[in-house]
Parts: sequence; structure tokens; C-alpha cells
Amino acid sequence: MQNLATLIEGWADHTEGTAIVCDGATLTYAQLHARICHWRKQLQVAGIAPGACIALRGQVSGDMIGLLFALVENANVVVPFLSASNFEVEEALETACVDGVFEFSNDGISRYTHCGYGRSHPLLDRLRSEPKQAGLILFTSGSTGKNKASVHRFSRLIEHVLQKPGAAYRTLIFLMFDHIGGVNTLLHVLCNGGTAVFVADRSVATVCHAIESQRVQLLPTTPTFLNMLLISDQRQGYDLSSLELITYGTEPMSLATLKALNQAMPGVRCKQTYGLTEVGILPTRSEDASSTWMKVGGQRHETRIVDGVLWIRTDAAMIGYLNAPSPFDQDGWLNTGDKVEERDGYLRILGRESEIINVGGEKVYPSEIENLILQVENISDVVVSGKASALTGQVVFATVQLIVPEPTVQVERRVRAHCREHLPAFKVPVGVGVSEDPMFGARFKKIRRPARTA
Amino acid sequence: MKTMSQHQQIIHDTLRRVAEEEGVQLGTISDSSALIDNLGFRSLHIARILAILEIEFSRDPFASGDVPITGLRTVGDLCAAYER
Repeated sequence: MQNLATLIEGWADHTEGTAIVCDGATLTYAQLHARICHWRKQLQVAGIAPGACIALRGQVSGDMIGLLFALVENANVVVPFLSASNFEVEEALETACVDGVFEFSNDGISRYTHCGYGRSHPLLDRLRSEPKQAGLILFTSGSTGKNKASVHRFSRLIEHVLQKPGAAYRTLIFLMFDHIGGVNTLLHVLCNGGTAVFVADRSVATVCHAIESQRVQLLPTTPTFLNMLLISDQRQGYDLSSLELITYGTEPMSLATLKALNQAMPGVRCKQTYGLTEVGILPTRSEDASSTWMKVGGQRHETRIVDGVLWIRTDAAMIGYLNAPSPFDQDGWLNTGDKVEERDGYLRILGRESEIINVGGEKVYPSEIENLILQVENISDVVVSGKASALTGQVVFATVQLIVPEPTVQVERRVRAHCREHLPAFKVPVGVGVSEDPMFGARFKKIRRPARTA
Repeated sequence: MKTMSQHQQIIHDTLRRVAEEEGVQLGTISDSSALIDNLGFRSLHIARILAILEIEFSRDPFASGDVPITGLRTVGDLCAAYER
């Protein structure tokens, strides 16, 4: 098996192959190697010791990817903060025990700031005690509204990728590497000698333009984006003939969308993926391109079904959360909360068993939104639930009780305005209803009635 | 029972309302206006439009599977879905 050190050294002579395309700029593997060498020295100069938690923020570039690999080599704990919807960043930096932040501006300049949140934590100390083990901290939605910080062994995630060599695709980076799916894609692309094509946004036009101009072969994406791609006529204005494979995950796929995709792009193979922040991305094999049934798991990823719910055990799993109890049982199994059907060894994901709302692959916990809406004037109670959406799988819907009567349109406007001020767009209720019925059951548990199951 | 012109009026009003809320600059709305390509709506905008229309018409033909979401391109497609 190849290790990361020999892989990176091999890049030094790889002057032809393009490793990264970002904002119109390209970086060959040899140039990426040079950036990694540059950052090795800079880490020494800045006195960044192995085990330190280092955050990456700002505009993604080849330079930032070079730093990412230098940090892995230096056995640091990497904390990527790349999405525009990062609320409460300062609190998140503290939660992740971040020692310092590298910030990359749009003009390519980077700046290091020591932020002083570095401290001991049992999970980080355990990671630090393992020889040459880099870490990765990813944030995932938390039921109380606070995002949970999951700690991974970054070096082990890389080992997993290196163990199973794959095709060197020119791949569009749809999810950034602050998401487990984005980490997995980026590692697969670079460890297999492919090209990672970054896009400025995830609009249909931008993605189609990147596919055409960079001759992208692999598009890893979500069913929501595929719906938008199929609804939009813009794709017909672009040459998408380079596409060979579309992988989709993060939310259940409807058979209607998959069939429409197969018809619109008959030469493109479609494959479903499955993963969670807590256990990484699992090996999958779709029954066929037009089927939502798939085999999940493999040699180092065990699966079992308990009462119709999928459980997973793998050595690629995170070590734990920095700010929440471990979700694993004593034998290391994780209850995914995903309801599944099984047929001849193939699984079909039906949706979440829990009350978590999945909006286009983004998780929303009702209690977070409810706590926020209760701050709004004239609201005495609220229940937030998921509502079926053909486009995004589910959307957030709020039902409120009022202290004094008020027109529904006015209530909705005030509630949405308050939510928009404090939440990313996917968490803002698409609708607000007013109810006079009690919203608690006999045991004073909130009654969440989804309009339909996604 | 709402007449067809009432349906169209409600749909057009909903498109304008969501566009105003979301800062989307709408030009003239016609049956042939493409929701994404001409009017500039994004996925969450369309999800909100469908949620409002479900309240107005007491049904969502896309979520129920009566009309495939991938067949929704234009304002005319949207109106036709609620006229069925």
C-alpha cells in the first residue's frame, strides 16, 4: 500500500497532470508539491507544533490545499471553515480548541492569526498520543442548535482512500472539504491522480460551465441539485458530453428524478453514495443506474439492520464529539437513524427515523428553530416539523400559537424575518401556520405532524 | 372552486411575493417564463412557492407525485399542475 509521504513526493515530478482548477487558475501536481514544501517551512517558521488545532478559513485555492496536506504531514488537527453559512464562527473556534487560523483572502493572500483557544481535551489528547496521526474536526448540526464538533483521524481517512486505488477522474468539487462528502471526494481525486475542479457557487449555470470548460467526468452531487439541473433549460446551452459518472447522496433520491436523469443523460452512469459525518463515506454499489437500491458497506464497514433502521460499525468512524456524548454503543455501532428497506442484500434509504429535517442534504433540528421562534413577539408556542418537498426532499414548516389574534400573513412575515436574521436560508421555515389546537400530547411531548413523509 | 384565471392570479402573486422577499428581480411574468433561467429563482425559493401554493390550493401536485418535479420549467407548467 502506498503511503501519503511517498504519494506526495511522487507529485514532485508530475509536471503534466493538473491537480487543481480553482477560480480559473490551474495547479499541476508538481506545483501542488511545491506549495506543500512552501507550507512545511512556513509551519516551522510560525512554530506550529504537531497536535495543534489549526483552522482554515476564506477562499479555497491551490495554496490552501497545499497547506492542508502540509498540516496533515505535520500531524496537526485541521478544522476547515469554508461554507458561507458559518454562523457563530468564534464560538465554533472555541469549541474546536483552535490554536490558530489561516485565513485566505480572495486575492490569494493568506494570514495566520493565533487565536488562543487551544487546550487539552480527552479526545484530542488521545489523538495526539498516537504517532504521526493528523486529525480533522468537522461540524454537524446539533439537536440543541449548537453544532457538534466531530473528531476524525485524518491520517486514517487518507489510508482508507489509498488502500483502494480508483480512476483518475476530472471531478467537480460540489461539497467543500468542511463536509465529510467533500473530504472524501477531494482525497479520492488527488490520491488517484485526478483533477479537482472547484466552483465559485453551486448554481446550475456555474456548474454546467465548469463541466464544459474543464471537461469534467465525475459530478458528485445531491438529488436537489439534480432536480434543479433537470428543471433548468440552461444545461442545454452547455456541452456536458464529458460527464461519465454522476454520484448522488446526502438525502434520499426519488425514483422519478432518477428516471428523468437517466433519460436526459443516457450515456452517464449514476451511482448512489451513502455516508454520515460520524462514520465517513461507505463503499456502495447501485443495483443499476436507474435503481435507488444499493449495497452498502464492505471489508472495513459493517452494517446491520435493527427494527428497520441501519446501524454501522467501521474503523473509519470519528473518535467522538468534542461537545456531545458519544453516539456509539459499547461495541462501536452507530445507529444512523436512517430507515431502510432490504431486498436480496440491497438497501433502499427511506428517510430519517428521527425528527431531523433533511433539506437538500442539510440537517435541521426542529428544537433549534423552535427556540428561535419563541423569541418572536406574540408567539406563545411553536412546533417545527419537516414537510415533504418534491424539490428539496423536505422543507421546514412552523406552526405557531398566538397570544392575541393576528393575521397569519403578518405573523409569517415577522417569524421569517427573525429567522432569516439568525439562520442560514435552508433553516428558515418556508411557511408559518397559526393553530388554535393544543400542540402537546398527553405526555406533554410536542406533536410534530409532517404533512407527508419525504 | 377557483377559476383558471384565479389560479393564475394567485400563482403570479405568489411568484411576485417570494421574489420581493428574496430580492429576486422579476421581469414580466408570462406562461413561457422559465422559473430558474428567466426569473432567477433558486431551489429554496421554489420550495417556498410550492409551500405557499399548497396552503392556497390545499394540495401539492409535485409532492403527491401527480406531476413530476422535473417537468416543472415554466410558469405555464406551474399553472397547469394546479389546474389538473
